[in-house]
This record gives sequence, structure tokens and C-alpha cells, in this order.
Amino acid sequence: MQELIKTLTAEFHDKEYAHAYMEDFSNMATAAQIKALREQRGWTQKELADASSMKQERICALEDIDYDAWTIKTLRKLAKAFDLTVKLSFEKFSSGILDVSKINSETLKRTSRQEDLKEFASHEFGTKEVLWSAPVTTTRPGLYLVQANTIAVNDIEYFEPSRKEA
Amino acid sequence: MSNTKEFNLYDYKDENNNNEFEKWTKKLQKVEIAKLNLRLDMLKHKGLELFPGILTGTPTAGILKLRIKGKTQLRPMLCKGPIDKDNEFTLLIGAIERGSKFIPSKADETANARKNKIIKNTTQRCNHARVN
Repeated sequence: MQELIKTLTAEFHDKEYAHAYMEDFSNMATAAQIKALREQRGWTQKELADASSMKQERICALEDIDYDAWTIKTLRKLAKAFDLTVKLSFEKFSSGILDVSKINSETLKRTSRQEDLKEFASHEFGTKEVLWSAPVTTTRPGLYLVQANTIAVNDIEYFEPSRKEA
Repeated sequence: MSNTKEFNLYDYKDENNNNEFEKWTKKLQKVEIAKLNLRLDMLKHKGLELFPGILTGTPTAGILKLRIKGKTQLRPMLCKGPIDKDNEFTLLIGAIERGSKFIPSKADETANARKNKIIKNTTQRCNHARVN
């Protein structure tokens, strides 16, 4: 996977190429996430269509990786059906490259609002998020890369190299 | 990082050692190459689990096509294996689809003939040559 990250980092110096690659990836990932979320809930396309006031044929089209006519309105309708929120943001290409490398059916799944909020509260509102990894300890003064969705920043402890642990 | 299994990608080579798939790719527009590379990256690194619709069948059994939407409907054709069907894909021919017909015509049949050549002689393929 490191090889893919390096390849894309080199190729993305070409603006036209980078935009075409990421735009297509975004379309494919959105379609795949709708399918992953539907399957996570054990729904058929018809059930999702009913929950989002759309036709089953429309859901079928939205789950097609070639679909490229997304509207915020449609995404919000689906978000409401899945009981999730839509997060729209402009991102750096390096972030996009990491998304390409990390995507899989598990990373696309999301817990619905009530279950999520219950879990959120039981883990001290994100300070000890259960999905995050165990605390990372470093003796290095510089920590160059932190994947924020993997490691909780407040779980990183820094020890002075000269300091001895009790 | 995900621990998803990775696949090996190969290109068909003709009797004169020419990588025809690479030649075909070099003639594409930059946007088309980006879309092709994305699909091949997903195929190599994610297989068919995440994007099962990335490959669809052709009239010839065992020959699959990548669907790449655009001004020109690109339909590069490939097969699983053919040496190790669980771990590799081989790109066999570059093609487009116009009005439900492949160009070059019978591209799927040509792809199948090339697949059979590779089965008989594994030196008629090489590691996939990425064009960018």
C-alpha cells in the first residue's frame, strides 16, 4: 500500500490527472458507502428507498460506481434515512491519497445516531474513543505523522529521553 | 492501513514482445488514464470485494471488461489469472464500446485467444506497465 501512496504522490503533481483521479474515486467511494451502510443495517434497496422517499431504481443507480451526478439534497435525504450526518469539506490531495489507500468496506460503515451517541457518552465524549488505538508512547521529540482517525491526539504521551520512569 | 489481500496485475505481450495494452493506454487522454489507473489500483489493492461492479462480463465466458465512463466508453478487457485465478488479473486488450459494439470488433474473442496463448506460454505476459 505504501507503494500506491508513493505512486499517487508522484503522479498528482499533474493537476488534470490528480483531479480526474480523485473525482472518480469520490464518486466510487460514495456509491460504495451507500451500499455498505445499507448492508450494515440489513436493508434491501427497496427498504432504503422507502426510508429515503426515493424509488428502488434510484437507489440502484446511486449504488452504481459510475454514478457522477450527486447533489447535496440527495446525500442529505440518504443521511436522514441512515440517521447520520453529511460532512462536506474541501480536502488536501495528501488526505485524498490516504483515503484511497485506506478505503475498505469496514471504513465505510457508520453507527446510527442513537447508538453512536450512547457509545460517545460512555467513552467520555471522545477523549477515550473505543475505536482509537492504545496510547502511543514516544521518546522522540518530533512526531511527524499522526493519523487522527487512528490515534487520539490526547492519548499520545511524550517522555523526555533523560527522564526515567518511576 | 487495511490488510486487504493484494492482486498481481499483468499485461499480455505479443510474439514480438510488444506490450499492446501499454501502447493502447498511451494513446488515451490524461483524464481517461487517470480513471483507468484508479480502477486498476482498486482492483490490485482491494480486489472485487469493495467495488464488485468494477468488472462486468462480456459475451465470451471468462473475459471481463472494466467500465470507464466518459466521452469515449473505454472497455479494457482482462481475465482472472489465467495462471493463478485467485491472486492475479491479466490485461488482454484495450477496447472501446460504441452503440453496444466493441471496437475493435470481437475484442472479447481476441482477448480470449490471448488468454489461451498465455496459458500455453506464460512468457507472453509481463508485469503491468503503468502509464501516467
